[in-house]
Amino acid sequence: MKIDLQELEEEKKKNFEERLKFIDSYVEWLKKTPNREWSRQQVEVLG
Amino acid sequence: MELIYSQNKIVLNDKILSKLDRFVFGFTNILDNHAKYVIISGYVAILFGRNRASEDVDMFVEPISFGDFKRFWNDLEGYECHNSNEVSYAYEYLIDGLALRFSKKGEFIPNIEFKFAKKDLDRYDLDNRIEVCIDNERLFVGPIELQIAYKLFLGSEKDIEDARFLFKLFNNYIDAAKLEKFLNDIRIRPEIRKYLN
Repeated sequence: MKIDLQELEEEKKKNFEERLKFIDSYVEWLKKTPNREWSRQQVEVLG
Repeated sequence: MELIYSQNKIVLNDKILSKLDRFVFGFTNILDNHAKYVIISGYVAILFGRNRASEDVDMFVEPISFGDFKRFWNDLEGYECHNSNEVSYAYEYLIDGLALRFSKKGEFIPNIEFKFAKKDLDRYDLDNRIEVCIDNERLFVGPIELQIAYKLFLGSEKDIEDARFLFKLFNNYIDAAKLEKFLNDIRIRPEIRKYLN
């Protein structure tokens, strides 16, 4: 099996950048969603 | 999100409380009768909607006498301290600058990481804490500007995500000059600061 560490590192970095972008989208949604609704979804995920 | 943000208070009504929220309120409702405290770090982001789990909730507490601590300890029905069953030994942990871990009896997670405020930054968190009111409940968190800067200082991917989350959520409310000062004082490098953009 060939493991390209540089490829893995780049993928890790790209994944992190994508997660940061997702946080931005999530915050935009959060800002326009009633507290009751976003917290209901949070409870479904976190318990 | 409906919130009212003023200098020392955030009102966030109509939030359905998670199990973690209820655990924190249960503990802080007791602590509030005995000592000044401030919640810092990951739970601050979770409280305001960040969807990730946390096995503990970090807090600083104003140093109190052994007598006051013992009264608080005796009031903690339904909780246990994982460091010691004995109040005087537990108090020694705090005096030595170490953290106590409290959870509901018979459980391990979630738990409260409970420390006396020691350094100037801890004191700043305590002295400038923000009251968060959620319907009939309230608790105190550290100033958002300092949470953002400190999370960047911690620097893991999870911490940077928390910092960005808080920054994006509160960017219309926080004091930009204060944030900038913390970023400078804690020497956050430009390659980390860029994650707020």
